[in-house]
Amino acid sequence: MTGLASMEMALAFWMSIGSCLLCVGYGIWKWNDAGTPDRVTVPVSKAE
Amino acid sequence: MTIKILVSLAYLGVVFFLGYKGWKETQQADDYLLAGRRINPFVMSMSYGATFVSTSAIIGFGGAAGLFGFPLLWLTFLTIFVGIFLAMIGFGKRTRRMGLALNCHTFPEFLGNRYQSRFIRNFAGLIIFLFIPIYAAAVLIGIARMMEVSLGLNYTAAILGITAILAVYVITGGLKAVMYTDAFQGSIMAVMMLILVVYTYSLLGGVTEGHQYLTDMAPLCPKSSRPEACSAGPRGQRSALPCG
Repeated sequence: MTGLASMEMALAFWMSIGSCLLCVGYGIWKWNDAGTPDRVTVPVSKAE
Repeated sequence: MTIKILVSLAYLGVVFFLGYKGWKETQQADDYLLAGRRINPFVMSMSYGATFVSTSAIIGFGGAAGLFGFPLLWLTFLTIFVGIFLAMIGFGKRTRRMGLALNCHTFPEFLGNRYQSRFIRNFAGLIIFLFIPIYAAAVLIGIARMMEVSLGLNYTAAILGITAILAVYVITGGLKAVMYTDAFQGSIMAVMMLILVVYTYSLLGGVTEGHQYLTDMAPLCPKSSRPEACSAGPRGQRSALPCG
């Protein structure tokens, strides 16, 4: 638990680092991935 | 002091260059308000980081971390995972497509067009108009205080000067200038914070040793009539400590 007194704190510590690495890894994996083209129709709610 | 001044001038030089670059690349409303709806991913991520991790995060939450201790890391985890990862992956593309379909340039316009409500548009705009200056003021105060302490400048002159510099490149260069300068500042912040973390832990003898020092400070946690006070901060440094 890297010197932290409780499991909850160690969990928060490692999950913070893990989520940061997840973001970086996902960004590298999907680098400049434009995805599907921008062609959508948006249902617009009734005008007031 | 000479080095500080030279570094500060070099920093301002880069900021002005990036602001000028943003101004040159701004041709129409989409460029000014939305950076042309297309920006390099690295620039966007660093700009997002610099915007989010502002004075309130570094100084404000630094103080909050000193008060509440490691339990504040739950906020960090949720911010990264929910506020960034899930929000960008789950809502990012949809929001972009809706913005394109509705041909909107601002968030109030987006809401107003989506729900066909002038009231929603105006109300959202009013909220932003009223509260963003307050947030910006907090950030500017942080910068001015840093300049006062670091460079010995007069606080009032520092805050007015910084405001003028920001106004010049934001008004002339629009969102492109803002994102380029943010990316530069965000990169500096990321590198320096990484150095700070590594240096702090190395001074303490390592990650485990550093945390153990903090754990050993638990008896210094002030006693309180509220049992839950011992589980947070100094108000206790870690959670789940026995009270009394």
